[in-house]
Amino acid sequence: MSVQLARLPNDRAPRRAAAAALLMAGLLAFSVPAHTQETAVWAITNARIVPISSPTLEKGTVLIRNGIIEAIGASLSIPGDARILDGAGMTVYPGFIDAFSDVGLEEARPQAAQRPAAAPAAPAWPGAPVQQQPDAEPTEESRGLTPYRQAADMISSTHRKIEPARNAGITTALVAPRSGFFPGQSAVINLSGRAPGQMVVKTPVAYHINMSQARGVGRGYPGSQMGVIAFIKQTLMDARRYEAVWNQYRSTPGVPRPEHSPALEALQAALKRHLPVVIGGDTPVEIERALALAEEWGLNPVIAGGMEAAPLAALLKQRNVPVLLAVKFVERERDGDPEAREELETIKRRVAAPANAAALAKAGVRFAFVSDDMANPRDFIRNVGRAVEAGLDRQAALRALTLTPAEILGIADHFGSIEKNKTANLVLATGDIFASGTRVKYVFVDGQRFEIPEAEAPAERPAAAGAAPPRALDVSGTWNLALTTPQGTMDVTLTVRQEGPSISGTLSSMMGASEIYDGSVAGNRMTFKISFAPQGMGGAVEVVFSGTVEGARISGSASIGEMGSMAFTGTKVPGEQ
Amino acid sequence: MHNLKNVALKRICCALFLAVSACAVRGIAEPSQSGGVTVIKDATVLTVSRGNIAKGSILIRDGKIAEVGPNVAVPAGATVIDAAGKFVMPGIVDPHNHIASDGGTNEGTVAVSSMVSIEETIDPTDINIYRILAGGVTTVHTMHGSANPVGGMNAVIKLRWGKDARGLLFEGAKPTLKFALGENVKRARTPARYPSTRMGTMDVIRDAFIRARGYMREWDDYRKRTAAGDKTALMPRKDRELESIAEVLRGERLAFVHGYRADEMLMAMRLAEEFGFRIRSFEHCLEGYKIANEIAAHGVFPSMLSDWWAYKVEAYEATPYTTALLTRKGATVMVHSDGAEEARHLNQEAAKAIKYGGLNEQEALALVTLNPAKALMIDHRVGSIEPGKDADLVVWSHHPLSIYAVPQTVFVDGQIYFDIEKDLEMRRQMEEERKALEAREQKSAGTPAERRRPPASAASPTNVPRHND
Repeated sequence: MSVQLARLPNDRAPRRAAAAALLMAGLLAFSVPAHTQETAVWAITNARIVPISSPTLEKGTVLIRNGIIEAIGASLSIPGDARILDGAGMTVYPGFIDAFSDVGLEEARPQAAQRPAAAPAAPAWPGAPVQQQPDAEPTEESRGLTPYRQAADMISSTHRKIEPARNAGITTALVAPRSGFFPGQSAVINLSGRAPGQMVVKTPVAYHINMSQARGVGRGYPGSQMGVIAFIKQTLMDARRYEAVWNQYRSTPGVPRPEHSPALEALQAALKRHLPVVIGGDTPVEIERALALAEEWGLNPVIAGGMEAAPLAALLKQRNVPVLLAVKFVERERDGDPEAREELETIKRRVAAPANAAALAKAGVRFAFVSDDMANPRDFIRNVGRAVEAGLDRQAALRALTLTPAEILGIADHFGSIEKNKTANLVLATGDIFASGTRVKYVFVDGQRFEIPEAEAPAERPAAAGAAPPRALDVSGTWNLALTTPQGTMDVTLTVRQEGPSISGTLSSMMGASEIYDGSVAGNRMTFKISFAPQGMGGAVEVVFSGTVEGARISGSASIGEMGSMAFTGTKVPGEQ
Repeated sequence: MHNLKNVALKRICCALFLAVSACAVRGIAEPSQSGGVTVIKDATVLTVSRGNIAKGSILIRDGKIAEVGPNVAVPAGATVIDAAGKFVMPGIVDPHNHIASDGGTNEGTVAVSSMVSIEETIDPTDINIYRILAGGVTTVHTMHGSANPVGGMNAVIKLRWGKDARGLLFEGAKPTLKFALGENVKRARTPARYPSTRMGTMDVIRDAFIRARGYMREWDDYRKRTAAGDKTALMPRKDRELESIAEVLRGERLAFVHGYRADEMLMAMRLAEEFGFRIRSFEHCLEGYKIANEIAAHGVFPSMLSDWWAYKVEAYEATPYTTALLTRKGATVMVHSDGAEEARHLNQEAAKAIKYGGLNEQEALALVTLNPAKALMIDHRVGSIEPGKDADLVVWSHHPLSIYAVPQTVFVDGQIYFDIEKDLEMRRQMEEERKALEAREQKSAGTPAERRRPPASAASPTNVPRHND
């Protein structure tokens, strides 16, 4: 079998060829997406249903057809073509919406300007002196000015966080490019793991501004908090002028033609309030600055973060500013110096953090919970539970995970509650989602059922608060994997070496071996990639293996971009490191 | 300015600092609502502008000084503060400090950083506000650093501890811009930055003013054409960097110039005269004594460190007598702190000018009150005890020029923002609060819900494997 070498260095070629042979058969079957194999009609019966938009049904049925909720009720007749999922003992929630997350987005890092200044930047106005430049000419991108970037263009259906998020009950997320001061525009995605085009729910949703950071991209201007704010304000000022001078140019012959700028062009919808602007800020000072910026430039602000927003609750309510509320609670350092005297403010901040949401709710501030960049999506739901423990009404907490984010993000017609004609995004849990011991058993995304493996249930924690910290997972050794392809099971051997969070090694079968790359271990998840170029595909294809490790067992899936994925299970060869 | 002396001071003051760090925290230190009318009674009043009153009283009404004198009638319902045996002076105005701003004092990435503004990064939660208040300071000129030939815009704040950023700003204070000369701006940097010589520094400043002139012409031309009905004139770009320099040229913004050596200060004055504006102040001004006549003639308000010298090469030829010497030459001189620690005893820094050069008591007090108020053009509001001025007042245990003097009560706008008795009480409260919070954390750490939680750390995995090995 001959293989096209498209992407990888030549020394990998022979092994890659073998892997190609291994996966070719499976690949051919992927022209039909794997998920269509399950039924499109579901009846979830005998379940406790929490629709959010209407009172809880203690025992009822939800009917799903072709990805849409067809009906919900206490006594529905079940259509003949429906597959029944007995929900006895289970609670059904609308799929949780994470209103600001880093799931599912592969953002290329902006390049610091490197190329020599071939042509000096055009002066800002005729005859204007050009400011001295460092060796490299900064570009809009290198200066963090990329409001035109679209999250929808960066969606990765194989992103490592999609499955853990979904397993925690999160079906929908707002995602945005993050680097730079004007990183770009966000999109809402559904965590189906299908092709990016099928995942995108709404785009663009909002602009984003990173104001509370002291550093720019690289080492150029701006390099301080003052500089960041000055840069942001100058940019908004430029954008306002941009509109004025282009209007003047278009309407008046004889006016010199202004310079085109993709960034300033892209910012017009923010200045005209066609789209809201999400501005990050946790402390009262940061939030006050964000609100002042929005006020000065007539932006329609949404605050992201808000971890210490409680003292500003009245102001946020008065201005009707929604908060995308993070729950990244800081813990006391377990291995810190026990004799160290902490600042009182530090202790106060830490103790007060879980009660922040309750204070905002009490003041009537509209907020939606967000994981932001939390490492583990289950910690996100768990910390919302801590906000409930700290006084937030349970129903308010649920709303802030469902309907409120749907409203803030402008998708409430289709998402956020269990109602006829809404998208069939559902979470089936073994009980109250905030209760300890509850686990998510099934998740429906666009009507597609995902069965959550037992390993994803809330794991046992170390017995006592003072117990030794958990040992980091070490997957080093040899694993025997069974890959389920449409042509049958295929046996593969994985040999890995783990160094910190990264892994390397080979994946081999009777046909040869392939080197793995981009391997990592996070929590109990192991991820790695192999690449091969099957004949007739016109280029290399990347296969992403992602599995959950539980002791000596692993289960997960190997996905090939938009073409679908194959399940695999495996065990570790005992006695080996 | 961060220098060796600062470092040494930090070490020496470590023990002191620890004791003070238990001071108030924002939220607890609410200013007392003393109502509209307060009388400070029977104190030695040091007015600074009108001499001393041996046994005088001050009537405060609606945040302003209503009456000062030996015979002030106490209105019915007024809060009376018995200050017998104590001394009252105007709140200290610190003309050069860097407190109450976060995320960096310098925008050091560029040689001209006049687009940035301290006012936009005021941090009202900086504990130094309270600590300095406890040293008798009520107004601070909080400045951009000295990393750039043309630095950033500064802010004048009142130490209204507990208010938000906007609430700290000194209403109507004249805007200022920082410039810097000498070692700080020319030193080697990564990545490399022009200038690296004093010649280069002057070139960068000159270039900035030439560009600002061009910018002003651009706008003038646009306005003229528009006024004449020309619809084809394109609106120039509003440029923060050049706008603030243009304001200096138009006299709308004061130039505060960091300078050590006589030669570079002379160059700066000549450059200013060439461009038709005046340098308001030389910051530190260590070799000012060499050009005292020129400084006085130009109208500079020299801003001095009391007795700092030899902490870097350009500081070798300094003398603590400069403050007195420049005063005698007719300049309006001020003494600044340049740091959160020094600002807690500016009264003593002022007193040093009596030791070095023999200023009289009034002149010494003016160094940290009326003179900086004049330099910042806020002397119609603060800097001396006169009817009509803001009731920014400090009650001292001893004469403020004494080493034993400790502020007892500090007023800003007629409100008490620091009181030594209340401070002690707050420390006790905070200790109790700490104990309560720690007990609460301890308790919740024992609940099952808490135990389930893994240690949180961005880097470490938060997911715990089930097997317990």
